[in-house]
Amino acid sequence: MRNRRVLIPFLLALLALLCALSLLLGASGLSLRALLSALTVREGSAYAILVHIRLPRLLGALTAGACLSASGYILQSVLMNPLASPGVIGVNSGAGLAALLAMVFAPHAAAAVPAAAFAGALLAVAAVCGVSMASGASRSTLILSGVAISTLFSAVMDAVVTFYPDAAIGRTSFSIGGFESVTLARILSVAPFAVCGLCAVALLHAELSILSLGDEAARSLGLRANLFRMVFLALAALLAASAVSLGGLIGFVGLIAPHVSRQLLPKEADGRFAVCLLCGALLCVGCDLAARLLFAPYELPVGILLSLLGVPFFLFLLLTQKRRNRHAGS
Amino acid sequence: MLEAERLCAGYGGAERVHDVTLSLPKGKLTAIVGPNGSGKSTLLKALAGLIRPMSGRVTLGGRDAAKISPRERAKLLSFLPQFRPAPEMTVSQLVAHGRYPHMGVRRALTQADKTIVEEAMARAGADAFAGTLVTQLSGGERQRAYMAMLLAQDAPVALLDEPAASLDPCAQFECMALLRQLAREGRAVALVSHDLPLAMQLCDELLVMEGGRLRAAFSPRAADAAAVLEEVFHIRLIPAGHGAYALGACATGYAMGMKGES
Repeated sequence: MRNRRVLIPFLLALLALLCALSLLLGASGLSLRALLSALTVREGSAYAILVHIRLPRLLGALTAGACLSASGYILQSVLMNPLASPGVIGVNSGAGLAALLAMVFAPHAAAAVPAAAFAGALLAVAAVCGVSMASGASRSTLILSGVAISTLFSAVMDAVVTFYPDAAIGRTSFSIGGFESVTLARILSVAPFAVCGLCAVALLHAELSILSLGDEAARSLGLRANLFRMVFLALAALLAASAVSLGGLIGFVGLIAPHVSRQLLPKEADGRFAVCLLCGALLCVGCDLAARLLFAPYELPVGILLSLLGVPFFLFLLLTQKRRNRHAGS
Repeated sequence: MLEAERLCAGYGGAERVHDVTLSLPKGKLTAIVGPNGSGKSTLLKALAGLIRPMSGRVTLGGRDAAKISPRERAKLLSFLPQFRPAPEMTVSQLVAHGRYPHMGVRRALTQADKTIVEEAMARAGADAFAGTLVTQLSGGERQRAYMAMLLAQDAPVALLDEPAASLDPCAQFECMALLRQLAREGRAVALVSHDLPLAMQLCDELLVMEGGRLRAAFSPRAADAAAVLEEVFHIRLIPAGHGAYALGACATGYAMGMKGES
């Protein structure tokens, strides 16, 4: 299985299966025949559920999963830190705060939310990198400054909700993360950012790989390391912001998916990015489906499920990282 | 091939290398030696274009190095950094990155590139673990992998920051012998080294740094070489025959005897 020619088709087939299940299964209990006939008739409640609820939700989960995993993949390579991810280093909360502000001050402008989320994510990246570089740029200072920036942005979000209570209505689901309120209009406004970001990373994959060798090695190979680092951090922010605009503050996908892709394809760096995107999409679509079905007719926010998976995974990484450092030092 | 004229360089406004003028000719293996903090690595990075000179200039093949694009410079000059991280890729993928400056827009390896990569791995002794992840290598193996990447870059000038660090004595000797061979093939090769006896034995020229200045530049076989080195390093060098030296004792009186040829 550790061959991209086998693994990628397998993951695609698995994703296709999950997508089909995500469209077919849900709290409304519609039969397969009803859904299929709705597609031909193109009207009625079954059609409305399929096209206006389940399809946007599925597309939102797919896009957010791919974007978050790509963002984590970039951050871990550029910052040479396996613990970096948009959630851990504060990019998600920066995007979240800006998106919340856009919802409060420009509630009717559909494009304002993704644009503001991108600006907020970029601000968070700049703040975290600035603080960690000024204080020594070690792996731990990066994580610590990310935690500090996240906490700060969360506090500002609480303050916004305090002063603008109407914002609290969507704030809870937004901060937990979920795809239940995704609309086709929102997807159409976010898709250009997401597609451009993902294509740019795929095209610049060689440069991303070289940046993971460190600044001196990268520059000695003729790469404009500072320029490309900035480009990649901007792309990571753009992709994280796209995901936040769709699903709110979904954590841990950007941390888990790159690691799983490395485990699945340890020796083929070329296909790893595609595998990472597929893992992220599978994770989000799978968790969204599980969140809908586990306690049906009640629905668990997908962010809770992801946190239940992600926190033990993060702790596992911390433990194995320490062991690996000890091994490398010996 | 690579020349520096009145070069001053440093970090964050603090000058660490003062007024250095030197020449690294084709076909010569040059060692930059000096005590800790003498500016060796800073000089090497300034020569490699990794830090911008505060004043003075570096010329590469007769051209002002500051006016050569990074990619073009990487075709002319390769650099082995002291810090060699372990990225999540196999050794052959790492070595293939050495061909990056030569790649076209599609960033794909040609058949010729693949041949160069395989030859570089064989020459550096990294072919035995070509399919192994860099994260799973020992320090010495990782050094060989990075050395292979430098060879794959196939540049006429090679600068190496402590290439033999973390190697056992036999591997150190092999590494230095490989660098000497590269020089004999017509490359200008310079390295920063802390292994004085090995540098004296295998290098064609020594550049001695002290306090950020170039104290002396001479052949290790020059009559006054040992005397200058003893003064700069506060050590005693014992002639071991055939132009080789062993480290005697340092100024603190601590004996650092090494087995030399007799």
